[in-house]
Amino acid sequence: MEILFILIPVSIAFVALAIWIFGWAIKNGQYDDLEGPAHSILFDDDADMIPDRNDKPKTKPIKNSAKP
Amino acid sequence: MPDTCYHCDEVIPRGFKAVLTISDQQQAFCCYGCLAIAETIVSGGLENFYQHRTQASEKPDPLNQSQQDEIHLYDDKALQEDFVTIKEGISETHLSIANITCAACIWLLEREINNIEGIHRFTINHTSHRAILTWIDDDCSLSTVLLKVRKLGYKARPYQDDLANKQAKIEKRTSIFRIAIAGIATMQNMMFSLPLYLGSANSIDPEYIALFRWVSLIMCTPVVLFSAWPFIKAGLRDIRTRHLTMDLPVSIAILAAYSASSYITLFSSSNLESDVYFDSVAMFTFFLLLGRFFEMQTRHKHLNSDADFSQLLPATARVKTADGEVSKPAHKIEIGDVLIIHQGQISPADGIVVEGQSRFDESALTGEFLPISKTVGSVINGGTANVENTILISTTATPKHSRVSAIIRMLDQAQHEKPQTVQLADIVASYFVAFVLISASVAGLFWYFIDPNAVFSTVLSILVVTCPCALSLATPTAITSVNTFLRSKGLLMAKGHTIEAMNSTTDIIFDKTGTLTEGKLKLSSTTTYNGMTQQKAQTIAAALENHSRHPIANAFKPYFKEKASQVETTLGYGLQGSFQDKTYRLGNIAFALNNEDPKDKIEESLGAHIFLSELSDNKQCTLLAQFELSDTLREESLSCVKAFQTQGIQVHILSGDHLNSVQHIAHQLGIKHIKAAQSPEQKLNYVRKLQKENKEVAMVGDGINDLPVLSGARLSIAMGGASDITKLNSDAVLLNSHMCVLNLAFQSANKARKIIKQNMAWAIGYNLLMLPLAAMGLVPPYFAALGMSMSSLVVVFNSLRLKS
Repeated sequence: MEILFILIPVSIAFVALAIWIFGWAIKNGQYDDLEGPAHSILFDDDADMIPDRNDKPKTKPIKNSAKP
Repeated sequence: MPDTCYHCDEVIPRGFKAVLTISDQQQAFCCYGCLAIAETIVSGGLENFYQHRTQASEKPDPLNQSQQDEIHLYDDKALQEDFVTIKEGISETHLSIANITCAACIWLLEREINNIEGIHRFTINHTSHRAILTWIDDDCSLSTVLLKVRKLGYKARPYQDDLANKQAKIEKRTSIFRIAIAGIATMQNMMFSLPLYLGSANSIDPEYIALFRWVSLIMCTPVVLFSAWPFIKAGLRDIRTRHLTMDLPVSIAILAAYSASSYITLFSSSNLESDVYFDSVAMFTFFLLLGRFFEMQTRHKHLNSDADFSQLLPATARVKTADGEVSKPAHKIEIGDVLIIHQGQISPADGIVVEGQSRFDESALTGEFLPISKTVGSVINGGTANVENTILISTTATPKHSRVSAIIRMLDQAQHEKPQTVQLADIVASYFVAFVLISASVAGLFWYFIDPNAVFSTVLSILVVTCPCALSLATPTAITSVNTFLRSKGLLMAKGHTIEAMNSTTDIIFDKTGTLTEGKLKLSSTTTYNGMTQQKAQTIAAALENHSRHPIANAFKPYFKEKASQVETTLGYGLQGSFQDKTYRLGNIAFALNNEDPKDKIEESLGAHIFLSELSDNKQCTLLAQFELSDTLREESLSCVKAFQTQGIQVHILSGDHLNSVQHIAHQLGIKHIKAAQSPEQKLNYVRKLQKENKEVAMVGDGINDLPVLSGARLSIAMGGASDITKLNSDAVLLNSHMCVLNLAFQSANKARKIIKQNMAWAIGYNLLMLPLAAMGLVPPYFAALGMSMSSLVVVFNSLRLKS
């Protein structure tokens, strides 16, 4: 169990590093917008890849393909 | 066909028809402005916007020629110096964007703007509605972006961070960092304190106890010194000002627990007989900080709506010099400069007319929606719009010292003198805190005589057990849930005391225009003659009025289809122009019928009647239609006023408008207390007078001129259509036009007060029950922690009942 005397200080060093990175990210403005990212993943930019109702499938038809 | 607009969800005027096929379905619109935006969106392939959005869009405000010219002025390099930075050929600026209603709006804007050639990056912050735009100036101009944003139905304007915004940003970043440190330390401390709690069951070697304690001490130190600093600072302030708040016992508990635990770690032997509380200190701080953070978020939300009053004044001015007309940034205007104000432009500074004759729309200042005539020698206020002819004014005050700015200064003063709402929670808390501190010292003194060794642990356990967690949650949770509920109905509560203030209101004052009424002229009826159809008459009138800046023209905007040509304006009488190869006249009866005796000018009547006629080649006029325009009452005004009156609240009208129009409205609504033609100062005095009679006054208003009185009143509610500066300085903002929400808010406030009282009774009852037990040394720490959480949960669940 003596290893704890080395491992725990090492873990403290990691925590200190994590806090430093966190502080850097905050200063960098990454936490200025806390709402945006939650919404932006929902607005996909893949509209052109989803087959249109009138489009003919380019390759073989896939059954139950996603509706636009 | 639905009767509301697909784009902005407003009621479609009767007889108006504009449709567009979107995603294979026919959708109807309320005006050609909304239709044009929908067309832009669909043609960009972004019709998904309508599926994604969660709230209806704002009704657009069509762009006229002079506004377009103003936007083009932003391309001026000299002007750009103030707000654009150029680095390695890439220009960067910050824009403030108005009319964003939901996340889909941001998606739409980001997609469309990033598609413009020459745009490097365009991102909008979801919370502040501020955008960062970087672009290559050779490929694209700033005005292209601003115009595109306008075309999608939003408004963009360059802005510079003011002091308040900068501070808010720093405050937010610091508190996130504080929370992060407290959170990380909490997790780490849990890990090390668990073996200590379980240690007595399994034998644990003293050197490991010492190790865990030392590590916990290291982890906890930044929490106390950095994260908990706001509480300690506030606690010290409490001592200085001799006003007890929660912060004092909170900081005593944090400091005492920390120093006692540190003392044990440093000096006592490593056994499990004495406890350390590092984990509790970190967790306690973490939860308290989280609560404060959410409170701060709400506070900042309102700061984001533009605090910059100068938006009322244009950023540029046209100055007449020896070399002709030159543009100049508004802040460089000096007293004595001769400014040229064209039709449709807003005066950037106060001045006196030196040449020309025109009419000015002063509605932004006074709420009066019909324009006021100005001739040589008349005073022009900065922020008012020139409706008719180009005139020259000699500047008498720079934009910084103009009337608008003076009103803003008056506002600061009024706010300073605003009657403070003593919150129920504050009173209870200060008594409770005093009680806790006294009993802790009495118990400590008592134990000092019986067993000096137990003094510290008993005092500490009293402070922990009576931790005012539930008490401190009692009010905020109730207020948060009632705020969430009311926000979903369209009323935004900006300040903490709003709910308390609503409960004690005895008098409510309405400004007339823009609150009880719509605040703009609307076409209320059309009568046609000589075989004209209503729709055709409206189209012709709208075509002619499109060339006019008179407020009357706005009433016809929804009917606009195509432009008329050769339009001439006859000052104060009307317009003449040709439309589809026929010449028409639109104006007052004398003008329309080519009568030489133009006695009654348009604005003399209460509402306005205007007439349309066809002018044949031999100067014969044939009357075609009569339009009646009036400032209409909001649909729900009557029921809203009635509901307040049955509640026993006195309703007043305090307006800057003429007496007869105020009387007309007051009569319709059954309001007895009215004051007309009031200046901002007089309005404030009226409220002060009521307050001297021990009345609790609530004020509902919308204009800049209402600002001082809004901040002088104990409770102020701004309408959604109000300018940002008014909204920013109000306690609550009604976002839609449903006046009944106000009644609902007053009812909810009453309910919230009951819930707060229940919560406090519970929290205090629980703490009082535990206090003697803790003083006798009967409460083990784990039970105290468990009980504290249970007590808090009861409070939270009770408050959640308000949401329905």
